[in-house]
Amino acid sequence: MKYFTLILLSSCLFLIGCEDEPKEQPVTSLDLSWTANYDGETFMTFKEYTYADGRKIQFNNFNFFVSDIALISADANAARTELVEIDYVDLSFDETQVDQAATGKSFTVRDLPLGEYAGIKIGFGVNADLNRSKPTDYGTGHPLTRNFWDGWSSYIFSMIEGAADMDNDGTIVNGGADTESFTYHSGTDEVYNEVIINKNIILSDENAPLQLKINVAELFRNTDPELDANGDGYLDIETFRGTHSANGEMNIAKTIMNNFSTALTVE
Amino acid sequence: MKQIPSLQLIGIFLAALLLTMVACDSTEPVDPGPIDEPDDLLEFTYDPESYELEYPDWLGQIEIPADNPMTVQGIELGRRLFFDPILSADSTMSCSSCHNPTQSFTDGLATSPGVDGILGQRSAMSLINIAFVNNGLNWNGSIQTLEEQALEPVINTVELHETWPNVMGKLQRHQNYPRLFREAFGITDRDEMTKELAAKAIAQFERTLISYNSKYDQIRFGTGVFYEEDEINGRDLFFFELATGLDHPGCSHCHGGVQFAEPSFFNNGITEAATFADFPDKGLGEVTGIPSDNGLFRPPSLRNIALTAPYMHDGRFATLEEVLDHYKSGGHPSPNVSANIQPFTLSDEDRDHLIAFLKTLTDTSFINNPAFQNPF
Repeated sequence: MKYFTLILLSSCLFLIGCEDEPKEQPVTSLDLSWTANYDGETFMTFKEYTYADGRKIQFNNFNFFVSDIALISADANAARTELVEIDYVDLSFDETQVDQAATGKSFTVRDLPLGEYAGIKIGFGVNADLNRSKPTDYGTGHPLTRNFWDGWSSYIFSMIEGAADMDNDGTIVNGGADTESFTYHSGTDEVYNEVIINKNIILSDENAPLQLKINVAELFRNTDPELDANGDGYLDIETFRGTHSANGEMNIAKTIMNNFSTALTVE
Repeated sequence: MKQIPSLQLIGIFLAALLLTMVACDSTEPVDPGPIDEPDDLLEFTYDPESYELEYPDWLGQIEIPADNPMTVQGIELGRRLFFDPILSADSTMSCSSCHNPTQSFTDGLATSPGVDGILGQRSAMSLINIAFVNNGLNWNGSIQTLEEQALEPVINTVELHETWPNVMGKLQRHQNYPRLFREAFGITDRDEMTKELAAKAIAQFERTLISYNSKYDQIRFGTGVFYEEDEINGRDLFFFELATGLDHPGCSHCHGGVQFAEPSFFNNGITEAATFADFPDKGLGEVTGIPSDNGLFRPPSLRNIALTAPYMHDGRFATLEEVLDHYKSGGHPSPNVSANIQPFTLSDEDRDHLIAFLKTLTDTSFINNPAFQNPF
């Protein structure tokens, strides 16, 4: 018995002694950069663009939440590499902020394993778990401390606000009794949109920023005939000047949130 | 009867006056004699008692700066400084002159006169639940922390119009303040009394100004209290306007959350402006330098809103009825007016009901809280 114990102890010591030093997995960092454009032109607030139906349009606010951004491994069996759980992306820069508009909203994800990835997954909106929380659950600086909608117990997933030449008189009236403003506020779990972009992404020691570009014009694309009186394939903003994701307006909210799929390009 | 000589009379009078002043804990400085002795405060005990702010989780999170932990002694010093006109150039005004507890820490004026009688540019904001504001204080978010904010009114020429060296000199010579600073911050010498410590104390006091006992709070988070019918309709109009048939985005877009104030800045259409440069008060733009931020202001909390008239950053509306009439009209055009400001139909009855709901946000236990009152 004594010999047996000695042998066992020796074996254990041998095994411990021979164990390989734990190898540190090489990691890297990646910048995610959100920018907006309007059909290829840098998107800026209070700048006039031409809407699909030819009328003038300008925006004074464009922001949205993104959830559960992850890299999808080239190995189908491998787990996704989580990048961001939740973030608030505000791309409301005016014409005096040209540099900021071009740079957009960036954030850096660190400690990512090097390797090859097959694509990226992005949830537009606030995922259902987080959407059950409230701003008071978070401290200063957390993305979810704003844009909560008490009425629907949901965050406002995307806000697109502005005004357009609704009466086609060549001018845009912002505010007052004759305002030509619009407010598209999309929210609630029903309109959460998870997008997967297939794209070969290689993470090495040094990486160029991953450019996530939103074409705001594309957010108004529409295939619902009820929302498209003139049949041009875009939302009829003169008739439907807003949504607050209430009953009777969910179709607009869904349309906009779904359109993030096609409005997004990843470079 | 022996007559008392007049000199003696004067002496007796002065002595009585001095005794009265001491007994009343006068705010006037009293020269304690030589103050240049080192460690002259060691005779007083420094034994700070940690203070935990008590408030329900649903009210949000207060972040206490690591370099200014709350203590009973710090709060008490802050309360005294807050109410003490010693902070002003002519000892006529204190922080509480514009932030009066009975009016939910406002002053009932459109804009407030300072010690020289000159009106300030903007209306005094309520300090109710100010500790929960984390996106910049003041109407334009110009200051980030309560500690920084507390330094400003003293030197503002249209407010207390004093200098900090003067204030600190007065406080150092005061009969009580050196001891109070010692008890709050552990200084050993009156020379260590600084404006930064004074500001920290005031900030500590201001963080205690927490309200969560309005009828709204009791109904939403408590039990046993119910809305009246008009208040229910008003609540629905406030939060669910589309659901109630009103074609309007809703008050809660700017006044959302339990603080009834979104952490953002808005142009609510009260000023007509043809261009960004035309706003008489630049608001947030004054801070950021971004033209499209001109005319944007922080939405104030609507808690105790019925007690804080007049309304808006310049106090232009005397009543809540006027405020709602403004929003109903769609306001005035300007390049960056919030898209949520749109004209809508609102009957007089619905307007009254909205106001009835707003009055459920009144918390009289807050304004009557003995801990928030003038200690002098």
